[in-house]
Formats: sequence, C-alpha cells, structure tokens
Amino acid sequence: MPHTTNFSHIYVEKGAGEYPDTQQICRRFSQAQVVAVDDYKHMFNRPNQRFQAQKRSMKLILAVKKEQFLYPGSGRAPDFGHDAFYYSAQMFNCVYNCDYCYLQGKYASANLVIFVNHEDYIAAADERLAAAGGLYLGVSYDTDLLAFENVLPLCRRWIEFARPRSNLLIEIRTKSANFDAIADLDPIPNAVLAWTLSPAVVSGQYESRTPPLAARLAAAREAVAAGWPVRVCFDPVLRIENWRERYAELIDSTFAALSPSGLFDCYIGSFRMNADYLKRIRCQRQGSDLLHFPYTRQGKTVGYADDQEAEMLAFVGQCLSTYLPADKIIVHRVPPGNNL
Amino acid sequence: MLYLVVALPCEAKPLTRQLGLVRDNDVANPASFAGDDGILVVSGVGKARAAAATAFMLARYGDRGPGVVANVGVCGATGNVHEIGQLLVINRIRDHGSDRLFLPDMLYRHSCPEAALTTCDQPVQSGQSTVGAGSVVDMEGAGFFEAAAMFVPADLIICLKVVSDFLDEDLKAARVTELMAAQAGPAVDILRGAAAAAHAPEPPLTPAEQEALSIAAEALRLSVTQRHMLQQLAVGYKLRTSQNLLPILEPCHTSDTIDKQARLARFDDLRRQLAPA
Repeated sequence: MPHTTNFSHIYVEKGAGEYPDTQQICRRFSQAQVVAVDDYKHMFNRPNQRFQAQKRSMKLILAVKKEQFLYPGSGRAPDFGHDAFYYSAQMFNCVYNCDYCYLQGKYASANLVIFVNHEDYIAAADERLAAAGGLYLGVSYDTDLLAFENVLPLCRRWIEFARPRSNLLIEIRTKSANFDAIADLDPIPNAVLAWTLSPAVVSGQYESRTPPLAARLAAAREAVAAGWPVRVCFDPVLRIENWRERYAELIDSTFAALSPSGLFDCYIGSFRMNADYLKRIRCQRQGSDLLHFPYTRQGKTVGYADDQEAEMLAFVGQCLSTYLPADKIIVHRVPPGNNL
Repeated sequence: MLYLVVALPCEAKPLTRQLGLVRDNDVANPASFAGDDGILVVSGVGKARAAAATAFMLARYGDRGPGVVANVGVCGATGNVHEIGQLLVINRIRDHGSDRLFLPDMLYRHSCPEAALTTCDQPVQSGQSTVGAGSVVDMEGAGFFEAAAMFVPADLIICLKVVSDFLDEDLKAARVTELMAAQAGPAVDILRGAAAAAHAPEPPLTPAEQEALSIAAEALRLSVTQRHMLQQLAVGYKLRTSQNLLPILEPCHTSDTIDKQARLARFDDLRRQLAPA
C-alpha cells in the first residue's frame, strides 16, 4: 500500500488559523485534511517518531512562533567574517532528504513546521539590526526556503525586507532549482543566493529528492545573469570513492556553467555534525554507508579526522584556486577541540 | 502482523473470523486470540481497560514480529456528517477527561473518511455538549493510544471506528456484530496495507554476521566502547562493499587463548580491514 501524499494533512495550531499565510496554505492544499492542535509541539515533538517513515509522507504543521525568532549562528556554520551572525528558522525541516542532513538528528519529526507570523521575524530582525548596527542573517537554515517558495513566498519577503536596509546581509541557501520563483525581483547586493553543489554521484546517491547538479547550476547561472550575488557552497565535501576525481569534475562543471567573475564567493566545508545527532540518525537510517563512516569525535562534533579533513579541503581549495582568487574562497573548519 | 485491541466480544467476533484467530487458552483475562498474522485482545469498556489490555498485548505478544497496533470498534457520531455503518480512520483523539490530545501519524493511504475522536469516561447521550459537532465519541481510543505509544512509534498506531449510532439508541450486541461484520474486511485491508508499507528495511548485517561479530568481540574481550566501534565499522564496511563479513570475523573467534597484547593487535588489524581506504 502506498503512503499518503506529502501534505495530505495540515495540522493547524490554535491561534494560527487567523493568519493569512495559514489560509493561503490551506487553499493551496485544498484536498488536505485539516487537523486542529492545541500546540504544534504536541505533533512535532512527540517521542517515538520514525523520521524516515515520516519523510515518505510529510505533513505540514502551521504554528505561531512565540519567542526567539533569531538564533545566533553555531560554530559549525560559517559566519563569513561577520560579528553579528544570526539565522532565522521560520520553517523547521526541508522537503529534501539528504543522508548527511543534521536535521534528522536535531528534530524528532520529519514533518514541516511553518511559523505563519512572519511579521514577528521581521520585527526581531529590525530590532537586532538596530542593536548591532549591522547583521548577517541566514534566512534559510534548518530548511530550504527557495524549494518551498511556490507554496509560501518567504524568500521574496526577506529580499524585500533587505532591499532598503544596506547594513543587513541575508543569505538564502538552497539546493533547489527554483530561481524562477523570484526571477521577477530586481536583484540587490545584500541578498546572497547560495547554491549547495555536490558531485553528481553524491546528489544521486545521498541527496534524495534534490534537483540534479545540472538543474542547480542552471538556476545559479540564471541568478548570476540577472545580477544577483551568488555564492556556491561545496558543503559538505565527502570522502566518497575517488573523491578527488569527483570534486575536480564538480568544480570544472561548475565553472563551465558559471563565470568565475560573476560569483560573490565560494565556500568549502567538510562533513561535520553534532555527535548526538549522528548517533540518532544512525539508528534511523541504517542503510547509509555515509553515516556509518568511522568519523572522529572532537568535543561534541564528529567529522573527518584532522588529516583527512585538511587533505580534502586543501584539494578542493586548490582546484578552486585555478578559477577564483584566494579572497573569494572561504574555507570553514570547525575549531579543533570545540565544545559546541 | 496486526495487533488489535477491541472493547467488546461482539466487536471482536467479526475480526477474529476475518483474521482466522483462535482463542489463546493460556490467557484467561483479557480474552486473547492469536493467529499467523494477528493478535486480538478484548479489553472491556473504558480507557483504563483499553490501556491495560494494550500494554498486556504488546508485552506478551509483541515479539511475534513487526506490524501495526490498532484499536477497532464502534463509535457514536454527533451531527449529520457521518452515516451509520461507515468506517472511519481517526486522525485525532482527545481525552475528554484530561483534555489531552493524541495524534496518530497519518502516513498510510486509505479510502475511508477521517474523523476526530473524543474519548469519554461515560456514555454520551444525544444533546450533551461534551463533544463538537462532526466528531465521533468512544470510551477507549485515548487509553489505547497512550499505552500503545509507549511501545511503538506513532505511525504504527491506528484507530478505526465504525459509526454505530447518533448517541440516541441503546445498541444490542447483535447489532454491533452486524455493523462490525460489514466493515471487518475493509478494516483488515487498511491495517494489512499499513503493516506492509510500514515495514522497516532489513538491518545491514545478516543474523550470521551479527552473531560472528558478537563472538569476535567476546573472544577479543572488547570493552563496550570497542564493541560499539567494531559494530559501526562492520556496518560501514558491509554498506560500502556488500561483502560477506564472515571471512574477516571468523579468524578472530579463537583469540581467547592469546595474551592481551596479541588480542589488541588483532583488534587493530580488524579495524584496519573494516575501515574505508
């Protein structure tokens, strides 16, 4: 028996029903069963859920976020040299299902939570901006907003929010090929569209439901041509079979599609994850060789051994250096002995 | 495997017949029925009995294989949304006494209407304002769900109800059996379909490999941490290469006759063989 379709059910938290976004989403999925819940956590944070079973039939949970609209960036994510680095999590979870995704360990549920009180996020960002004088804000962390843009235009809203605020830099990170959803907007210099790119073998084997490399590159090319600042992220770099050849090919393919001079910058990071998350994910996803690699633990983070990580990042950095100047290549390493 | 909790014998009868279950005479109470692909326990009326019977069933029979756990029975309906005899898949259960909410994971396709269920401590009469219009009421669902959720993941817990009345009549057992008999086939189809779809993938190591791993760990006198490390390496090796692990593990099975240094050396060698290049 097949599973129900994705978003066959929409769980609406008490108080969320009056928000226009809730009504818009319910109209968009008019065939869905709408189930009223008192608190989104009753659905999302239940114990004993099977993340991978839920991934086969994801549901939507619409809720109102009551507090903490912005989170300070963790050391596992790059701050690109910005002192005030925050991220907003207006959605929890993502429509894709990558083997290496930390969300599988972070959240008990694979269902998508959308907080429909966008104006409160905007207010929190304005407040933080005023306090810090400048802000680097990741708006598509813990999710992939652009992949969901056709359902709820959050990227569009964040871009319009950033447009008059030159001391705000937002990053919209994505694996989607859905640039068309925002292609009608005039580009701005303080909204970076960041595409995560992986070798074709990785996207085919370990990035379930994501668009193939060629589609992501085509979307990034369109964005560059339209004048958007575009970042490409080779993150996580994985120690797959013949990894040198695969990443060299990836970089060559990338710069065959994208003009190096048109890129905002390029970011490299190797696989790393909270150790507790990996432990949970290994229980849920027993068939992934990637997750059962003998990673090394440093503090609360697991990743490749120092020498392996250095070798991989150096190799990818070297490949990139044939196309980009050093100041456009950002290499992220989790500080040794970190206790994040 | 289907694990069913049913309140009354008159509800159980069509289901035991449909599944070919026979009375387990080793169990006096709660009345229990077993078969090749199903277990059914008759809990009695009320959420405490339903919870106790669910816990009993899963503790006693839960090792018979993976499957779904279900509460199947009749319910009363409010309003004019549902029809007598209709089979409903429950997508929300509210315990009227505590106001707690239980939410089954609706992962598996079915062709029945869905409904929200309110579990009450006492029979509800027509006109009482304890439940909202359009929802259905019973006396077991919440107790069943809360107990089942302690044993199995939420997506494996299913609640199916057959509308028996509009809270305005005193039902006879024969009528309940008649209503249940008409929906026993569709109900079992839903549950079997869900059990098949919910089937977890096979673990990466075969039972023989897992056994060989345990023997090797014992022979090498590994610590808990070392055993965990060996398990991860073995799973990773198997997933990467699909090679049989037995030729690598079996030479370690006789290490108990050698000294500690030699055992450690053999463990290091094993780690090297299983680690990626």
